[in-house]
Amino acid sequence: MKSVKNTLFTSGLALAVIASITSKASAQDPGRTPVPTNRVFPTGNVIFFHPDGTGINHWNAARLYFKGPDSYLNWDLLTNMAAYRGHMVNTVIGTSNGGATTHAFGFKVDGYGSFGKDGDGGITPPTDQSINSLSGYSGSIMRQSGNAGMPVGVVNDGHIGEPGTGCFLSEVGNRGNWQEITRQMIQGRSGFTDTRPWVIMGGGEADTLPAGTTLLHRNHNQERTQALNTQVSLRSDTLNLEAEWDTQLVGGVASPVSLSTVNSGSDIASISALDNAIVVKTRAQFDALAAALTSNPSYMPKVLGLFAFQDMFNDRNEEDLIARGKVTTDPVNFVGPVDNTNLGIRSKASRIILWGDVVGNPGHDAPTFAQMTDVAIKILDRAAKAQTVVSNRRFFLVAEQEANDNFGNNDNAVGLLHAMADTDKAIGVARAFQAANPRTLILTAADSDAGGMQVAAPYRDNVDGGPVEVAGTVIPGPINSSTITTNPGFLNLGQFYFGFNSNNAQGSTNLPNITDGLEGRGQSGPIGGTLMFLSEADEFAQKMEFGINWAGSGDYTGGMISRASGLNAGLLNSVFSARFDNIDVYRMMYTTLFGQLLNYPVGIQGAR
Amino acid sequence: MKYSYQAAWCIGAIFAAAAPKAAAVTTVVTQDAFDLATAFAPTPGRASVVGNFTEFSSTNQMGTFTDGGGSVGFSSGIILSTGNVSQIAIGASGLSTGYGGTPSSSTIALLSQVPGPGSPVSDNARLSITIDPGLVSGFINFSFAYMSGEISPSDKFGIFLDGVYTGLVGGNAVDQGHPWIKASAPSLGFDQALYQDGNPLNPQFFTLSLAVPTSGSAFELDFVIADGFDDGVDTAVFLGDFSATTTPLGTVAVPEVSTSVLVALAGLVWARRRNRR
Repeated sequence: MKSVKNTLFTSGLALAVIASITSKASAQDPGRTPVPTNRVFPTGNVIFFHPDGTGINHWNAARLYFKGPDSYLNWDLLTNMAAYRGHMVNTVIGTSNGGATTHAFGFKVDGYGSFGKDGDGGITPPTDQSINSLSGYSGSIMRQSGNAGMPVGVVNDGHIGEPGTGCFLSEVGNRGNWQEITRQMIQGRSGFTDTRPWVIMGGGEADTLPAGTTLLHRNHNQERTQALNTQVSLRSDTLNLEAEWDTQLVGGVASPVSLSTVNSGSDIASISALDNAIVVKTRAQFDALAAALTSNPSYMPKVLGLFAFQDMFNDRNEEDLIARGKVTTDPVNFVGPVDNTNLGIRSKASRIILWGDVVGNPGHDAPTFAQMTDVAIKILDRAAKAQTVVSNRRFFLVAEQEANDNFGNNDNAVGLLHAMADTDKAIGVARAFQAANPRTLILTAADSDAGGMQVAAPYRDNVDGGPVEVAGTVIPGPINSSTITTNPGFLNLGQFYFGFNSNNAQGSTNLPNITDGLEGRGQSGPIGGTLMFLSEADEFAQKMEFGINWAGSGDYTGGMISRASGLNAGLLNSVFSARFDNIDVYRMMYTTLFGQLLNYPVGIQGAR
Repeated sequence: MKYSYQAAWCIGAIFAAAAPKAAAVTTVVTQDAFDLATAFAPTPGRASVVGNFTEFSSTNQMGTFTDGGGSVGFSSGIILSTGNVSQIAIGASGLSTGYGGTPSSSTIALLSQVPGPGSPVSDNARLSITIDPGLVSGFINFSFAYMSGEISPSDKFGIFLDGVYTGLVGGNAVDQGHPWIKASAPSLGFDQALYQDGNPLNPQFFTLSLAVPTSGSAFELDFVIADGFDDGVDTAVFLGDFSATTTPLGTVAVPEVSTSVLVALAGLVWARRRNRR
């Protein structure tokens, strides 16, 4: 009896606390104020970009490098913005899997193990449990949309089952269960009659073919603890998910078999025959698909793109990639070797191969994230407009550039900068689509700040003209990341040193902190260091050099900014002006897909 | 006073009877805030209009219209009605559709600011849109027509900027008791309309202007209409031709004095509290 009383007392106290929090929160936070049930919002397409691991610090660096300090990224031109909060139920930092689950379901979850479920199935005893989404639907917002009849799709430059896309289509106990994640994304969840997505593109061939099958792509990045360059499927069963995709019913009609061989995917001939369900795996096949879409305005095949064994990007730091021979000798796209013997030659096109396999392999020169996004939007738009039910004439695309996060976690500055540029091109593609299709919401959100990337501007006196390159000149002197005082390989070159920590008291020392130049910390002897980055010109036609410092290699709470434009984008600066968190990402997407702004689940966790 | 009002009413009725038959207006029912905002502001000029949300008792209470030049007075725009917008047509009379329904608490809070009788409210239709006026616009302007079948001031209509009632036109709330209300010529189903300066020889619509609350800052613009007392006999507003300018293009709608005083007082109290910190 006493325990019952205690339980009741505790429960009552908890409810009172929640009620108090709710009352105080809603008084100052319009995003937590209950929404009238008869309030209706306009509906349309949703393009959700998840530039994983990017804070405003990353965007600032990308703008400097590719556009210049006074210019604009496509990201800058998204009209609305809000500060993003990514905390989870049990950690102050958003995790990729927990954050993506919250984006997909609208409830805060366990941050460590959750993947389309709440809890961790990888611990003993397992804690994972299925949850409904905030709308009450027994599945994610993408499952609800897709099963209602809206065309849905995902794009990722990592494995298709990376959390940012995988959590929208699968419900498993742990993110390490790649095999089951991939199966659910392609086949649907067990016990449900899920409609297949219209588009899935990314890496992850390792999990799509029967056990023992020889794959097209090799494990050139030595991922999943598998041998370097292995080409053996990692599935432990006999499922051939590619063949299932390739022969699926589309509009009630079976798609013809287009696999020319078991592991090469659809051939170009089958694409040009306008096959309505295809598997593409190479640059040539992707280009054939893009060409077919251009020449046939009504073509809208269901596409499974698998362009790598695991990730499409090369998940290592600069020094490691160079040591592994991931460098190009392409004289067209690369100006010259970037080292201290070629001062002033600073090509934007890194000689490091950051995505795909080396020349001569099927995974070389895979499509970029922006190119995949472009193709996905074209197909989804056509599919949406072809729907017979008017309320289904809208699509839902989730596009994640996982390279942003992983290059940040590798402290690979040039990789991260190029990933940001690729993401920004994809946003440009979406903006162009939106200009012609205004009933479209573009929303961006990252759940954490990978690596804590920071731009560090070197201090140099004006002895040799200062750290500024004006048109027709180059900055003289050893402009090298080893000259930054905090770099472990710091080289004091007198007047040329880059003293970031100029306020130190006499006798104090700087703590080592990696500073990356164009090719990272460098490998040339004990000094190390590589040339500094050079910005694009500012409004005075000057280019300025900078290095990249890192807070570490983890994911941090950081400074994430969500931006949006188009349909319902104004919610970021009205309803969500005081607070925009991972649950609100779900709420904003749901509002645009289904026309109803759901109440924030204050103090409530998901259940099924 | 009463005599002159009745005389004007008679003149209006005579004018209405003598008026040539107007062209039909075409209506499309929609509750979609994006469609409504687009029809309201097809060429917004300096300001941008972002569709936000709608609330209504019935899905029939909002819509767009075209071909309104010969009847409403301006060619296209949107309609908010306490009845069914699809029934609005030349030659119709006595429109009266009751849906009932209780507005949301936030809508009731808005309507409670509107002067005059008319409680309880029902049959409400609300369009809320966000306006970004840009840095140089001091006013927004739009074509405005108000029509009703009611003969006493019961139904409620309000314009709200950032939640503050800003709907006094010519010093009066826009309702059936407004001195500019006269018998309507091309009825569209309503017997009365609001005429510029109350002169029935003027068109039954005019340009309304509102001062931007804070220069350069986005603001919320709400239009709310509702039946008062009962849910019979319809009232509607027609809105269109949105623009943003440095100076007003038409009649300036203003807050009620008591409302503006309250807002000013609240601002003073807030400022004092901040200063004490």
